[in-house]
Amino acid sequence: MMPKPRDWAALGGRLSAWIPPDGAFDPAGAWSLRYARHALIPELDGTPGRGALSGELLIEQNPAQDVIRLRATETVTTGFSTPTTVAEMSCAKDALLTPLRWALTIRWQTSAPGTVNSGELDQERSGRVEGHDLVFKATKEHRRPAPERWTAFWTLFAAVQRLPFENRSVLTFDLLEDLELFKGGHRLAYIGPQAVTLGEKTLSLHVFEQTGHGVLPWRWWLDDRHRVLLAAGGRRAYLLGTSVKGGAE
Amino acid sequence: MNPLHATRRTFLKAGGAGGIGLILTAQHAPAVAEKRSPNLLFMHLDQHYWEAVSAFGCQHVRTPAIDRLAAQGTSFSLSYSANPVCCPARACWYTGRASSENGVVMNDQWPVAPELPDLGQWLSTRGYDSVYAGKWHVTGRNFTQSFRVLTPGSGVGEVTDGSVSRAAEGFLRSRKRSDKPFFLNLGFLQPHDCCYWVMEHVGGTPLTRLGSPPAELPPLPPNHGHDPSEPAPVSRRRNKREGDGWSAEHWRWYLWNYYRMVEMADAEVGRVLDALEDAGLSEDTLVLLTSDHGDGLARHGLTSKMFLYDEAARVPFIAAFPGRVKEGVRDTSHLVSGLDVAPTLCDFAGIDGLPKARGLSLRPLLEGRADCPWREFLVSDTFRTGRMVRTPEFKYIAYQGDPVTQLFDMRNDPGELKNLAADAAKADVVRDLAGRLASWEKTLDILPLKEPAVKKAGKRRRGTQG
Repeated sequence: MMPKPRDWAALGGRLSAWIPPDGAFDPAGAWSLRYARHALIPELDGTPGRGALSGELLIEQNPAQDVIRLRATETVTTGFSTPTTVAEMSCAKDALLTPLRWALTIRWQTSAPGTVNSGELDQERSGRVEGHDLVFKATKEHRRPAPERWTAFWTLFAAVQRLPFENRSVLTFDLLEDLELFKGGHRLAYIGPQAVTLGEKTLSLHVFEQTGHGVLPWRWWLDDRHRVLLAAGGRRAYLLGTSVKGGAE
Repeated sequence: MNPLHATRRTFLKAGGAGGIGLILTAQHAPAVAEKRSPNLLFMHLDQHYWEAVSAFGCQHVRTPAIDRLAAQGTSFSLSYSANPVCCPARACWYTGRASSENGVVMNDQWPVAPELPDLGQWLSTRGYDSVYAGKWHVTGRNFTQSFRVLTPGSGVGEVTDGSVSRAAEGFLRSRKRSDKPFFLNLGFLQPHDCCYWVMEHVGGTPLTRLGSPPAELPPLPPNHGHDPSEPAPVSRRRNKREGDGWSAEHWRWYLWNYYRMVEMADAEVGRVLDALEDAGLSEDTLVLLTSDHGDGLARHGLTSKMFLYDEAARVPFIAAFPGRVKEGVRDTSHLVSGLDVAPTLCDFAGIDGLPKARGLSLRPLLEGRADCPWREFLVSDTFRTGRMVRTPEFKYIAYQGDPVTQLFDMRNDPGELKNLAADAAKADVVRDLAGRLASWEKTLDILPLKEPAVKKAGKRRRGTQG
């Protein structure tokens, strides 16, 4: 039996009850995919850790006439604090699903009373493309030239699903992580098919790899219906949930 | 020597123990009481070697945020961790005392002396809102008793550093003019995740990437090799599994990944700086940025820390405060220690310093006083048995009980490749530096080293607290 690729092995026992989704999937249609967010921490001797849960991510896509509407809801659990970011994005119908207009709501929950005042850390942010500029609004409005090609991290979940499984599937772009942090020089390219054996089942998957400044390489693992099952970076991974049949809601 | 009774000259010769800090604080206290104390923003990265910044000439990394901070303020090239491993370095920042005095001589097992106040407590009782987000890691002290904690860290930078900067962003944007001045501490973990990369590739495990290597893979450093006769505590580190069985490609990939992790940290720093400006607080806030220690970075065939070569011991140190700190200055001559953090913050805050703080306030340097007297050497520890004396010209390293000492000519041999300790022509230098070390040790109130008070957990994931 082939050893599991690192990204899967690093999830440790998290895969024992994991069932790959089945059923139809249309990357261009309306869908929602819910991912568990995992921390990939190896043991001291280098063996994979337990893939500790560190939150979740829900991506919802709704195509409209002129734009693709995407909503990302990401919750990060850290000790006693849990920030949830909801990003509403109207995206261009291009290969990168470039956001044209967006609004972020960030809400914090804490289970340690007295450390944070109610609402103290909450934020509303927004942004838009205006001509050749990006306009960001938090307390004040800021403007900066838009990179030639750019997209957000959350939009990649949708964009990569639209790419054909062939060697010429390459995206080059600057990454606007959290719709706030610019990380330049990214390249996302098709690597090829790869078999992953989980228990008694072998999945035929397709892998894209993304490299660029400010991130460790991300690998995007898609099933043959172009659904992202796993996105795994250096220490962070998003594994498609199985609570709902098909992994979609 | 009792620092409270020595002359200024002897304090400077003694590496700038507490007394000189008090003298300088008094010299530079404002003539008229300031209407409002400044805000203090102390950001620390984890395992960031000083040179891994694009503004400092590193071609393999892009750090626009740290570059911006350096351009807005003063950065120090000769900046050293007081003890290059996580807990000890942090305990030195927050207590202002050397490791052998505060008790935290190694990670996790020796707690901080309970009677020593920390900066959070000190500033809270002097009118500040002391606030913390991220990694703390000062053994034996619960940071919720010293700070208002916005969000704790975790052991993984890639997982939670974003929450740290997001919390800071929310905190800064919600400040009102009428609020108390803040002392905001942000403990970012990156690029410390490089420890996990090492663990994943222990014994030469095949590389985890799938695609082609990037064209810009960094080369092996010129000092990748090592001296086989170096002190045993260093060779023991090398003989651990870190880097064992690695090919040149492993090392180069390690470096490439390390620089990406530095960029992750830089992006989070940028988010905080943007929020500070957006909230209109930049003009009222002293910003300090440093790291607890560096990383081996393939030099001397090492990764990680807990040794005294520059890669582990030398860290970035940048201060910015519009109108108060000289802008765009890169100070390459003054020796700066992690012990200087506490005196500097207290000095700018206009309050008395932590008791017997061993460092110096950087304020006179930051304000551009050319005539400012300064230390002639500094000392860093590793565990409590290894000590380094650094002057602008030389570095002398001695480990208790080890017959091998090291002397490096740092101006002509910055890679620390040629040990001159046995060179007869340098005997006077060795004698002088050993004497300085002995005199410095005499100034310390050394705590007796007991058996570890905090037992290590059985199979702890290394790096989660390191």
